Formats: sequence, C-alpha cells, structure tokens
Amino acid sequence: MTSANPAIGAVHEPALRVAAQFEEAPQQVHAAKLGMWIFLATEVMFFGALFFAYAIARVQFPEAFAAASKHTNILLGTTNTAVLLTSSLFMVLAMRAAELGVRRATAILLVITGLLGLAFTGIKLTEYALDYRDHLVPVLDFSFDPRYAKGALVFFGFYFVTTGLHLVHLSVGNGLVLTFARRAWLGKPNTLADQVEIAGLYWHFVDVVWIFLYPCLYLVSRT
Amino acid sequence: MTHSRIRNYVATWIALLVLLAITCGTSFIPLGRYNLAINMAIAIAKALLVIVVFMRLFKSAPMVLVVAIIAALDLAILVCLTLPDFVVRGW
Repeated sequence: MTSANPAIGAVHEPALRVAAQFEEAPQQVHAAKLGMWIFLATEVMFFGALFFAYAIARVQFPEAFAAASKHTNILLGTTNTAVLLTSSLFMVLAMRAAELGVRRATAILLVITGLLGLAFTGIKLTEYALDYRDHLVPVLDFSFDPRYAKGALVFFGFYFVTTGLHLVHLSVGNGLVLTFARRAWLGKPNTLADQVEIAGLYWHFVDVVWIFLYPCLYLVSRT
Repeated sequence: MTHSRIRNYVATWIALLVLLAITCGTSFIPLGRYNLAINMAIAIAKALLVIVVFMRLFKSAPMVLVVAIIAALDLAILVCLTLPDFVVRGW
C-alpha cells in the first residue's frame, strides 16, 4: 500500500509531513481527495434542492417562465458558458502539468483558468447591471407584463439566487486557483499535484452546476 | 501517453462547445416539448463529460465512485419523495 497505486496519489518526496491520524502519505492524500468528493456530494444536495424547487415552480407557471426566460441575455449567457467550459479545459491541463511536475506550466495554466473565472464574473456582473436597467431585479426594481408578473417574479428570484450562489462558489474557486498558481510559481510545496487536483475537482463541479443552470435560465423558450 | 491524454482533454472541450452550440441553436427552433428534452439531454451529456473526463471519476479510488453514486441516489430520493406531494395535491 505504498505510493504504487496510481489511483491514490502521485509519488511523494520524503519531506511530506503526515498528520498524526494517518499511517502514511498516500493515505493522507487519499483522505483529502475523498474529502473533496464528499463535500461535492453535499453540494449536489444543496444545488439539487434548488433545481427541484425550480422545476416545481416552472410546472406551476409555465407561460410566465417562458416569458421571463426571454428577458435573460442569451448572448452573454452563452458566452459565459463557453468561457467556463474553456476554463475547465485549462484547469484539467494544469492538473496534468502539476502531475508531471512542470511547475511553471502549472502556474501559467492556473493563472489562465483564474483569468477566465474572472472574465466569467465580469460578464455575469455586466448581465446583472443590464437586468437592473431592464427592471428585472426582484425586491429592488421589478416590473413585468402584468399577465406573467407573479411567475416572472418567481423566475427571476431563482435566477438571482442560483446564479448568485454559483458566483460565490466560482469566486471561492478563483481564490483557490490563484493561490495555487502562486505556490506553483514559487515552487514551495511537494504536494502540489494533489492540491491542484483537489482544487480542480471543485472547479469542475462549479462548471457542472452552470451546465444545468444555463438551459434552465436562458433556454426555457426562445421561439 | 501524455500527449494522448492532452488530446483527450482538448477533444472533450471541443465536444462540450459543440454540445453548447447545439443546445443553444435548437432552442431557437420551435420543437415544442422536445426543446426541453434536447436541452436536458445535452446538459446531462455535458455534465457527464466533465465528471468522467475532467474529474476522472473512473480513474479515482473506488471509494470516490461510491460517494458519487450515493450523491446521485440521494438526489433521486429527494426528488422521488417530494414530487408525489406536489403531484397529488393538485396545486
């Protein structure tokens, strides 16, 4: 059970400190990765409940959801989806570079991932500003075709809660990615590959959440 | 080995963008209820591509697969226990 099993982790330099509760370094790495997966499983419950509530509301207000969805900005929404999918490509390339021990390449790939994450944030905030201009922000300033006003209010409630929570998650991911980019550049830790992989798992999960948000918010009815 | 992996990642990314173009494009064609079916099928396909290729689900330790399956089952239980309540009440 030493580091020969590729499923458990990369080979470690002997300097790695193993916490008291672990027998050896690979076990510690295994626990760390499993911990991230368990955290992501709880996130599935968290976002899953929101998606389910959305489905119930959509069944109750089908016309209003269709009308409200037409007011989302499909150009910015689709662009942002492409930006996020591309960021995931650079994230997985960074994971690979870290595994191969190419520190500078890892740092650069992580910085690109982080910049794409910041681009997503910028586009999303621009979208929020346009939504505010168009009186689509519940509580602050909301006015809509009176036939659909109630359902549209529910739709935009979901829109801001789900994209807002997604944006919070993405910002956390951005912090992680840029922190590890710095560490990779400075060449500090000998556990970089595992750290980048764990940050990558989180990053890709946030991407998966957006993959489902995109059709639910932007593509309800475009015809 | 290394290059084939990188090629896989890039191919997956291209597939994701193609799927995005299809889901966005078809939503402008009036297909009735099939619009929703296409959108959901493509969302699931994209999510699986990310989870299997980028998150390396099947290359992880067996326990990770167990956690992933339990997460999916938990979500199914949440939906299956709650949905009948909404269907049966009639509001």
